[in-house]
Amino acid sequence: MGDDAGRTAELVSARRFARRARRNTSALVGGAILLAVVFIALAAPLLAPYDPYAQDLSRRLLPPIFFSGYDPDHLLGTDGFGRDYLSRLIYGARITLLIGVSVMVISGLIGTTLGLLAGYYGGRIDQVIMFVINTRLALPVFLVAMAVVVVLGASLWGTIITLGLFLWDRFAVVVRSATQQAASQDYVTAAKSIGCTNRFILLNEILPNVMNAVVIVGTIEMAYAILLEAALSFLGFGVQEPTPSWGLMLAQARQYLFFDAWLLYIPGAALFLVVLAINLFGDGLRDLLGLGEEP
Amino acid sequence: MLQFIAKRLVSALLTLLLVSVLTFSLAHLAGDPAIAVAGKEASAEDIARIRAYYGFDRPIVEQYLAWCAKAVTGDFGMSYHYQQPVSLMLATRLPITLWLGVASLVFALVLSLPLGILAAIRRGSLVDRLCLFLAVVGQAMPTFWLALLMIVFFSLTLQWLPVSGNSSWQNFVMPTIALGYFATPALMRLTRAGMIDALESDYIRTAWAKGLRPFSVLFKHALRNVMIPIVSVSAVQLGAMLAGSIVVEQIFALQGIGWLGYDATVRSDLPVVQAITLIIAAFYVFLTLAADLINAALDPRIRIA
Repeated sequence: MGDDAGRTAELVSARRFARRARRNTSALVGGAILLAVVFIALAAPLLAPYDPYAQDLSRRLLPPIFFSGYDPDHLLGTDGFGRDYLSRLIYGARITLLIGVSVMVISGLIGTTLGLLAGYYGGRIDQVIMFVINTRLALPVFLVAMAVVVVLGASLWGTIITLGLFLWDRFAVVVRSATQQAASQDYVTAAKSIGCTNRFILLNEILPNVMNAVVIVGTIEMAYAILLEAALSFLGFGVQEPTPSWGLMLAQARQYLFFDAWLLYIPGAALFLVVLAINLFGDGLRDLLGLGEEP
Repeated sequence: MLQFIAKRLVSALLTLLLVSVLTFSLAHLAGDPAIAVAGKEASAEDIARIRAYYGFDRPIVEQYLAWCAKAVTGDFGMSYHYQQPVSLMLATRLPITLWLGVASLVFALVLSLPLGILAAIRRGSLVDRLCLFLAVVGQAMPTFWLALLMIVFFSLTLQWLPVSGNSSWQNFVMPTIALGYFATPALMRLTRAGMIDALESDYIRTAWAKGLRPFSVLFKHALRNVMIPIVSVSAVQLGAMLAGSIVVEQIFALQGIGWLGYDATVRSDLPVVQAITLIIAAFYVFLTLAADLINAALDPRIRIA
């Protein structure tokens, strides 16, 4: 009987290990792609063969390397203004990462603060914050974001602030329940009994224990922010011409859908790859930190 | 049960109230609405006349209350641009978006439920891994990129489906896929996790031990437990689809609420933007309320909480 239980435990831990190892490959692959994109974004001036803003109307719509008749000077071809597509793609990585990270930081600060307060104090404060969260969830993000961008003026920072003010809900919900769990632990009771202030307990005892959850939600929101920015820019409510944003490149590719559909493939694939890498990395991280299936 | 319903109703109404305040203030943050109506070249007298006509000169609280009182009766004022009652414009557009939303949700459920159940039954198998892989890939696919790729492939290359419009069911095929696939990964993961939980529980072991047929065990006993989170998430997803239909409707020129919302935002047609925001929020609140009530009916334990 005892032997059986031992073997079951062994099997379970072996399976868990196998699962972790498999997920870790996803964290590794995702992390590697992300690192590469970060490198490309940082080293953009060194890597880009041309100025991403330089137009050459005599060399418009040159096909990329995987089509016949490509120009060896422009490996990914040129867009409708004769700008080098590879250079715009490389500089576009900067915009994408800047938006993803800034929105994640802004919404993470708002959501984590609300979640900590609601989870720790409970009662009235919790009720009010839950009400605010529910209201935020009821608002159609995309439509309101479009309207707010119109008010603030469509620009890179307008988009970042708008999205930052909208994507905190998941942080708040997840941190709230993580805080509720942490607040019932013995070390919090102990800290209270020796007279620590609430502020001290929240920042030094609870926050470090909910950080794992914050990081995981951070990857989800970063991916979401990147997709939303691309969609906003695609419809003309985000980053404006001539800034090289992938969503904006897709918007311009739309008019060449019939004859030069490749203009669509390249920025879309880049967008897909980055979001995929962030998701894979987040999934792997979630497993490494032992946080179960869904946060 | 009655107390539970009452509590949920009150919180739903309060949420809508706050949404209406936010929606209203958004329009007034946008600068002087009289100038928005009159256009930038209008003379000072014209602007003053419009201000008096629309009541923009009254105190803001009074304007809000008047707007609310009308909105409750379904009167959202006149569109600045089209000079038509907003409610009339919404009434003609709403069915298209509702059809699109429902079709997309059905598409997502038809795809995710069987795959999730299959992945749970054959856990760790090739099917399971394929499903997880599809979920990861699906989550990273930008909706509007998929929509454009489908246009290139199905409309331009194969010429199977029309590019845009809303005249026949064929116009709805690509928008439905574009809008529906995004909900699929979440629903599939949820189904899989729920089924795995259920299949490992004692009551399912009992059901097997009683010699029930696999169909009965899987669908009558196990699936019922999975349905509670699925109902909640489906409601949230349907709400998200109505809101997310903006991009899809704009790409396929499907003239529903989303298309109207885009058009109105471009033209700064505030009464229309306000009305659509409020209606989508109301749908969301209603859907989550309905999901809570359905779940309370499915699981008596929820009613007490």
